[in-house]
Amino acid sequence: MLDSRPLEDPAEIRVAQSRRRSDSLRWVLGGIVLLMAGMALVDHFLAPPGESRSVISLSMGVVALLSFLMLRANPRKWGSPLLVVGILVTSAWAVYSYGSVRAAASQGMLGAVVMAGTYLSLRALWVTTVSGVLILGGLTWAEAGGHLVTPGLAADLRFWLMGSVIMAVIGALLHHTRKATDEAYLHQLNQSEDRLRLEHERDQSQRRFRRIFRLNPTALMIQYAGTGAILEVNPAFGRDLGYPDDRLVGQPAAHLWADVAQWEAHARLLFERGRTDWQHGQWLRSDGQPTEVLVCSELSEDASGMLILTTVLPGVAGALGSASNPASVP
Amino acid sequence: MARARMNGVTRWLGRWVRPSGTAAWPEPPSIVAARSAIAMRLSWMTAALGLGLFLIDRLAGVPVTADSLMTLVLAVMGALSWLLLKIRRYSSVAWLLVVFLFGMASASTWFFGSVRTINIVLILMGQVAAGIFLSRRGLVWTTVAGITLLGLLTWADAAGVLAGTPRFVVGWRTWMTQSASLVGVAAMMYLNRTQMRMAQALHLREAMQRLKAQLDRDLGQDRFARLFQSSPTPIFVQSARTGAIMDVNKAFERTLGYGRQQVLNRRDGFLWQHDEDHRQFVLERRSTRRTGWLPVTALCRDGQALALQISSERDDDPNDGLVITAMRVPGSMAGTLPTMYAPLEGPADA
Repeated sequence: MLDSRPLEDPAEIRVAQSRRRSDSLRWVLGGIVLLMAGMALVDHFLAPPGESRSVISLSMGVVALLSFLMLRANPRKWGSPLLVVGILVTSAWAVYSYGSVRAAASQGMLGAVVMAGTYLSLRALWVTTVSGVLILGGLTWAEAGGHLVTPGLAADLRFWLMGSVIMAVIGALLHHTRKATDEAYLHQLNQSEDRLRLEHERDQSQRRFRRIFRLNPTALMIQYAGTGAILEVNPAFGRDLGYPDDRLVGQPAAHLWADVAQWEAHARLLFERGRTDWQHGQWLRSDGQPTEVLVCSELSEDASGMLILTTVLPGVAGALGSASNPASVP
Repeated sequence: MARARMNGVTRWLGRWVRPSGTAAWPEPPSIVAARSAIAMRLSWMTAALGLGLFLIDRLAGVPVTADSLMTLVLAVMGALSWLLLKIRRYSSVAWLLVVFLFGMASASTWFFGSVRTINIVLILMGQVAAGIFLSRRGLVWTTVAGITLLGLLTWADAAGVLAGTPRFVVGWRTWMTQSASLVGVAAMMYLNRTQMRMAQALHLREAMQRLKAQLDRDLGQDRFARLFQSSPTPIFVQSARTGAIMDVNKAFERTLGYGRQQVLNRRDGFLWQHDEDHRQFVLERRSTRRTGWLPVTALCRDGQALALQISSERDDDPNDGLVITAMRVPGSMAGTLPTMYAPLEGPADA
């Protein structure tokens, strides 16, 4: 049977999810390095003399570059935490040097929270949030107390560019998580479709084999190995030995044997070897009359326990004189 | 009574605005939908918070400026979100958040008189909301719209076309606004990571279940399948409709020398020596549902003739009718295969 989609190894799924996460972080870090380098250049050329804070942008770029290199050397170890701390510190530095929490860089605190929420643990997310709140509280207090330099609060291109850079980075981070979510959901849907189809095929196959059991012209019997109780017989069994189907279920299979010693020998061989060859014996028909049969049994593991699967050919043993006699089995 | 009336109104609204069942499939399930109870609680809490802040401002004697009315807008946003959640318009809640947050940021800038208003952070909150609750396309467009809006507001500020005259003093109120923004974004990121991890965990679970289903199907773990495969009597299964062989067991392969793949999808004529016995068997098979044990001569794969008894039985399933044929081979029961025709004695029971 052909399957529309290849099997997915669960272990490989975990590895792939982790790899995609590292890949996206690498892209984000690369983006931050480039954007911060660009912002440093813009700041250098557009800022009034003596007011350039390009060193802050460059510092952020260096932190991102360092995280990028660390990620390549040792994935998922220290790259992300370093970057989150770097964003918090450089945002605070930018606000401090600008002189107001109304600086565009204060939105970097939000970027740090989004970064932590995307790549770090839940605890790190809340630690970052609390840190951001405390840093902003301290800076607000300092600004309200007049401990900061006087800011030039005019709107300019640098404000817009810094705000846009932060939004672009946040957008990239969110895009990663959405993509990972969407892909996982799509894969799940595909797997779910396949699973439903496979389960249908499995159920159909099980129904078919059950029908084969019922329709089989050869007498078949299933019994529990532990108790010896009969679990199921097929209609041919009832026809050949004269028993109604439901009368045998739950009864000990040993009662079918006219000679208990034959059953014990058969069972001993079965448990020793896992299966028997054809053996002849005397069984009792429903009317109590003994009949010659050939019996072949096999042990089989099942969800409900160990089973004995038995095939019976009644009334033919005489014609097959070379079959072994269970009573002679050592 | 009022509650029942409210439920009636929301049901009526839901009938008009709820999308059809196939409209959104196979979009990922909305995290808002999955946690609609929490979302509704957050909505009315937001409404209550906005209303409470508005009242505190009035009681504290804060001048009634347009900027200070933003708390009232927040209350309206919370109430509308609750209503949309009630009528299960989950995607609309996300758009409502984006539109309201962008609108509040713009209005605040306009009335405050500068893009340096603390409320400018609402643009980022709208973007984060879009990234979590809307599609990826929605996120990209919201990001572009946010950057454009920030540019327009910056330009308006620089050009001096804004309405208010800004007061740049900061205090506990500005800090509270920024802190609330940080906590709000953290809460949304918590939902975001929950959504992602849940999807990944479900993917993993589904892959494992699929693997198990495939193994169950391919390995035939069912007891009846094992009984068929391990049966010492050769058996083959045919489609009642086409006569094509659908399956054979291992005893069949051992006895006749054919591999399973060599006989699948073929009719059974090539297995027999076409003589009078075979003709009798065919006649009986056609006329009855279950034949007795009839002697026929089979042709093994190596061309040798093999005397055996066969019996067939079919069922009446209109879609998947099966014919099961079992064989009794005396020689194989004794450990050696006979090479000449030697009909097996025994009752041709039916």
